[in-house]
Amino acid sequence: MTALLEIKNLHVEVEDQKILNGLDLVVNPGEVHAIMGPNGSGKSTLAYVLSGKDDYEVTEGQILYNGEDLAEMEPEERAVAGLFLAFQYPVEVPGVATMTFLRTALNSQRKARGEEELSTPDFMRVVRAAAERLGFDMDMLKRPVNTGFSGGEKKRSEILQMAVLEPRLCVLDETDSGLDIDALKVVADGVNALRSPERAMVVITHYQRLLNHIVPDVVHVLSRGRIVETGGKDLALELERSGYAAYQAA
Amino acid sequence: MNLEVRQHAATGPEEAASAQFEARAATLPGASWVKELRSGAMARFAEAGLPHRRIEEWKYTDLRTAIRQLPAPASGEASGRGQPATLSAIEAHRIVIVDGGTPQLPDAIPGVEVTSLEAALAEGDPAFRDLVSTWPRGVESSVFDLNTAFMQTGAVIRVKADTALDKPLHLAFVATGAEEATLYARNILIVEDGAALTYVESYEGPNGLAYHVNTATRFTVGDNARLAYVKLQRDGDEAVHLAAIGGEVGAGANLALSPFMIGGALSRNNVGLRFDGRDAVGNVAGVQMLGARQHADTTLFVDHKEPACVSRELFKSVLDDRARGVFQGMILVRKDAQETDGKMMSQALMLSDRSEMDNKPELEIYADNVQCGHGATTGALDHNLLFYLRSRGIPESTAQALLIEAFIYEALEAIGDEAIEAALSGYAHDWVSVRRDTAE
Repeated sequence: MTALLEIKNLHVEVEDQKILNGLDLVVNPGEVHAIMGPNGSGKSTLAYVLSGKDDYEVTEGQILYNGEDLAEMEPEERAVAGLFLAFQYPVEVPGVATMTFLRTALNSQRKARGEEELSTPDFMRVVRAAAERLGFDMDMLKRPVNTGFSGGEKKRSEILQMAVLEPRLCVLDETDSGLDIDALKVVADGVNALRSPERAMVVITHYQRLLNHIVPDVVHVLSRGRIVETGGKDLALELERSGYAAYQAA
Repeated sequence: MNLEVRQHAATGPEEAASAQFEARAATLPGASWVKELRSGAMARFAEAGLPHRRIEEWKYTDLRTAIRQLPAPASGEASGRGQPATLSAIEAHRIVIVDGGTPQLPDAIPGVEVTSLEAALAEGDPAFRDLVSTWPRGVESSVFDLNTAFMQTGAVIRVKADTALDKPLHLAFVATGAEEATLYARNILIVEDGAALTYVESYEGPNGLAYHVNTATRFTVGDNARLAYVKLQRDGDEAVHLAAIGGEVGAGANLALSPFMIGGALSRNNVGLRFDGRDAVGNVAGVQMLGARQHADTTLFVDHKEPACVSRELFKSVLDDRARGVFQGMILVRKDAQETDGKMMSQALMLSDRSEMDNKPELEIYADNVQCGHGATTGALDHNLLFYLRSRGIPESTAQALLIEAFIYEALEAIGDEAIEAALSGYAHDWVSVRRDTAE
């Protein structure tokens, strides 16, 4: 079986600063991996470099997605190939209705894959089905993308986009940040509803609490730009007790 | 050479104007009071010449340098009937003026009088005379004098008190390209007390022809009346478009003025708005979308003469390639205009390193209990927004197009007529699509 994601000895610099230093990671379809680490360990850099943000320079190593080198792909091409990043801080896009945004995104992806674009009624059916599956209401779709949304609404909007776009690899960057426990549960239930044998997830988080709701198969500890320990879901509980100090000592 | 000396050698266009006036004055419409008005205006123009950069309001738009030739006034006979392509899908009462000819008037509209400028100038109703010759501050210039000297066609519209129209009134100017001429248009728009009108004025013409439009529209909005005024400039790519829009609003009245400039090589809108009664609201929301070497300038003067009025000025400029946008706005709050609430904002989106935006917002306040402010922003498309859209699979050019349309959306929204907003959005979308297809 080909791994869905295989990261080999990845080094990344941002504005001449080394952030990732030889990171290795293998994620297979159907698996949920948690990546935990203290602030500044490179968690968000990993998320951005996977999705292809400018200014994140790979100086060494390789990222293979489904056997293909990601380095050559534009952000939109990665999305078309099935990669999805749920942002830690989703941006507000005033003036663009969420519905227009989602339809443009889905149809752009379909077009790029050589599939027929969906008519508005067909698109609406897809969105409605996705919202029902997640237990979300459709109100946010009429509003401009993330504009004036609460923290919880922004994260719900990310999960809804994920459900509509049906990616194969979901990267969730600190999806728990800024959420109270009720909002966290709603978002986590949404994520769980999207788990499937074909889809893999990389859940990036500082705190263990999210992992009570999204239970990972594998937990990694990221420190100073590399994975320093890998274990099962119990590793997260251990970290909750002992903190990251042990990994930060030089 | 002493630069303080204002006298100058007449340039080609200035000499041409004098010669054209001599040739045409006898046949231009109007009773004797109009003839006097014309010759006075012509004398002022001959004295001042075309506006140039040493005149403060024309610093960024130097017509003496930009205008090399002044085409002769439209003959008015170049073309027969024609239909506008602009906004033709909008349900409207339509007045069409082709190549400076006689207006084609709509069927009778209850509560509304529509006549041609020519007919109105032949008479001398004092109130009407006043509207032709007296304008609020902010529109006067020597190109406006040229308009007065040569005004040859236009529409005079009166919406009687407490009348509300069933659909918008659309005044469409069409240049067919039959002649390379100057259209001198003058329109008068009277919205009496308690009346309500949605009015669209559009200009269109062929690419590749250096025709001129010199147009002036005088409006007056009565007490508790409502006027939504959309001006859509879609002239050809070599056209020169010089416009004056001015008028006053009465107590409790509401004016929404939306200039939308997308065509022409060189455009200038001089807008003058005066609050003549308390508790009135004026909303000026403009958009300009410019590419190539287009130059467009909106210069606005808002005169708060009476207390407790609200004015909002919002200008959105989208500038690509080597385009240049200019926004100059002045809010004057007179001593008696207490409780004025005036806010002015100009925002420019620069799509090219070679584009240029000049912003000059100003406040002049003589009352002590007011809320006024102005601001200006200039910037490129936000990389974080682009990345967000692209990370969802939207190609970069489409993502840019979405963000450009979103940028102007706020200004279009102010119009308050969904069909017209949608049509203008459509023109913006076309502009963005052409740009995208060129980029791909």
